[in-house]
Amino acid sequence: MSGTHLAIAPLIALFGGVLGAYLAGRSTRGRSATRPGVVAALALVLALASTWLLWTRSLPIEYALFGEGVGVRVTALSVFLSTIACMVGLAVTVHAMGSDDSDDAADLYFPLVLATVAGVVGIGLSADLFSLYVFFEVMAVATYALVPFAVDRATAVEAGLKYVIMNAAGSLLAIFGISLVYAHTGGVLDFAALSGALTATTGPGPLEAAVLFLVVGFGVKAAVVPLHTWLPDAYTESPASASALLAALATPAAIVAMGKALSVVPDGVSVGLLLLVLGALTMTVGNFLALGQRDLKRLLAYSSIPHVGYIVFGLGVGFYGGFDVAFDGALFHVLANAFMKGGAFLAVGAIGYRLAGVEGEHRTLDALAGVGYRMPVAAGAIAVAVLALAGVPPLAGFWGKLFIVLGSAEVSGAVGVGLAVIVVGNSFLSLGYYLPVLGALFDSPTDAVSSLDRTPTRLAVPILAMTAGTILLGLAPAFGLDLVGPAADVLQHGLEVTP
Amino acid sequence: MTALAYGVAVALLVLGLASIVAGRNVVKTLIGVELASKGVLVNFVATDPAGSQGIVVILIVIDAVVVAVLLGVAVAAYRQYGTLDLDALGRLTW
Amino acid sequence: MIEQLPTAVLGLTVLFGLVAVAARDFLVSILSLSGASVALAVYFFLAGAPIAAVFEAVVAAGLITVLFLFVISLTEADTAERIERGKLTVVGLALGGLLGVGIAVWALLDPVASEAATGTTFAQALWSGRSVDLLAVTILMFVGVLAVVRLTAERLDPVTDTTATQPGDRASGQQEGES
Repeated sequence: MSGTHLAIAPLIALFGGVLGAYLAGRSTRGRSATRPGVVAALALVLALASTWLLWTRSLPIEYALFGEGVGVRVTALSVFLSTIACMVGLAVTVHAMGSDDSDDAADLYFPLVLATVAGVVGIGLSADLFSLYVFFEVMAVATYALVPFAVDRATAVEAGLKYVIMNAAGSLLAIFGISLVYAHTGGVLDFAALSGALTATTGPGPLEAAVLFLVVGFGVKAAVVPLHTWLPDAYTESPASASALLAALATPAAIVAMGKALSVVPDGVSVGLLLLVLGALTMTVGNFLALGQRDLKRLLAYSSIPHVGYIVFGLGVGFYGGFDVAFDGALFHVLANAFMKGGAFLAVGAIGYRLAGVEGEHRTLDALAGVGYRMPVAAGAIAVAVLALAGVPPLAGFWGKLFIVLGSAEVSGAVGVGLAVIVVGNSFLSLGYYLPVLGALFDSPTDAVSSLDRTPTRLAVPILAMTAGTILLGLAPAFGLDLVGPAADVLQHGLEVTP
Repeated sequence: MTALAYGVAVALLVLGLASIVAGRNVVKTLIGVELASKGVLVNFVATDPAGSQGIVVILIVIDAVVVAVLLGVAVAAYRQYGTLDLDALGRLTW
Repeated sequence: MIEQLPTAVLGLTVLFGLVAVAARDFLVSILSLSGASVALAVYFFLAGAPIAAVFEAVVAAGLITVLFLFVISLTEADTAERIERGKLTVVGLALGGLLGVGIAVWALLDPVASEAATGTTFAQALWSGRSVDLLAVTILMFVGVLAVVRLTAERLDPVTDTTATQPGDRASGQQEGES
């Protein structure tokens, strides 16, 4: 019995944390970030611990609150998403406690961070398409408030407006696609039953339309080109820890949600080809957009787009030919991306925190020249993250790309070689904007930079944890593959419950 | 009858999206969001009126929350810019 | 004649939607949107989804209309003046009419099945069928309130804080209505 109740424990811990962090924030005089932060971190640790307990049991586990009905289904994919979500959430929470991201409103900031994490955990746990949408919306609404969290800065509000309008429209398209699936199957939404209930029709029909709606709908949140236009502003203008949460967690989770929704579509519909083309487009366009950027945070924001592209491309190759290794690569890159992007954005946040009192403009690479000598932890973390993002072995970003390339090469003939070349070529292209970052960080210091203090300890801890993750995952990818492999199998072979 | 309802669902979605894309004022955009979400409801009800009620009720509540948050962002934008005209809010590039 | 009714109501919904999108006047737009919701609620009822109809009428047509009117009165000076002038008529019409429809739907529901039984069986069906989603939606509403509180917070002028958090209060009112 305890085993079944355990299934919902991560969600309950996080939902409890949302309420608890709010109450802790309200009860603190002077709106200090410590108490709500500690409550939030506790909830995340609890969720992580129960996720680990779930991992040790035989999966999948079916569970419904108080008996029958649509409940949750714990699969390897749920554990995978839940682990990433809780780890990123923990790093973001610790970072936000040490910096001023919560902006005198810690009672609101930490619950919103937790709700984002809870939404991602729920995406993994959801047993039917509608639950998937509900949890997706929990995540989305929480980020709607996190992006324009600095409500008294005009650019932040405007970036937020753009973000919420585009994403609300995207969510609408996704749920419209789900309603089409509902209409097509006559009322079946459960993942386990769907793959049997959905039958491909000859020629374009409602199912094809539904697939298109799902891809475009989740694609907006995932920032698939040409639906990426909200991303650079939203990442640049949100508080640093919220950018880390978005880049490391929310955006990749949207791709996983898309993959989970599409995993039930029968083979007759060419989902794989669609994702392949979108993925290739996304990484190429994203890399070119990032090339000329001089603003460090904006550069990292733009560089998130190609990484979305790699993941979508990996899923596309996987769906196209049914190659295990491509699914592994896509999900491994989700995991690696969490560490790389999380570490990079948190480190940029730490630099911004130190530079906040300094006069003048301090976001471009020129202004940050030489920051590596004054803040070695933050700059070192950015350097590691940037190398990993470019796919330099033996860092975390290398393996995901390698598996995706291997998957592409399995596509027969010249097409396979061409697909592999696209990925490899894009990796080299990305060096074109990552190398200037390295150069600038360890250039001769400017006046403003040379008087900086070192990275504050409370900010250094989560940054170092993320960097350590990037390096360890690169040195020992087997650890990651233990988690990724079964999750990729679930995505590939559907979510049927084995008796 | 059901076919007509599906047609209406698509019509509402298209109307809503048109308002989102072409709307020059934030309020018009949000009216589009609200309208398009009604199309989704029609799809669910037309397929299985009694069985989908739980889904429809939850969806109506979600839509209300989303629209409330979007209106909150609109109010925040109005505080900063003094207008809700999307053409005037052009400081950041699309 | 009766068979034609759902068709007519659906047509009316699209017509109202068209007006809501095309109208230049925000007040007309918002009231048309509300009208579309009412028409849709009638369709839901005719199609055999009475509870969904009540929610559509009360939440979508009533609450959301009020939210829109509130924001418009905050941001568009000339429209605000017209709402102010015809306040009782406009808001009264919107709210009263829509709640009236909701109640009428309830009343019409009675002959079909005994009122109390329908309510409880539906609640049970909803709870057992979608318990996890209900939990998530509850949290979603809480998150929505937090979001609105933050977004409408006016730091420099704490006096207006009470009016600024009004949408949040509305959303929490709806939370009570839902449970």
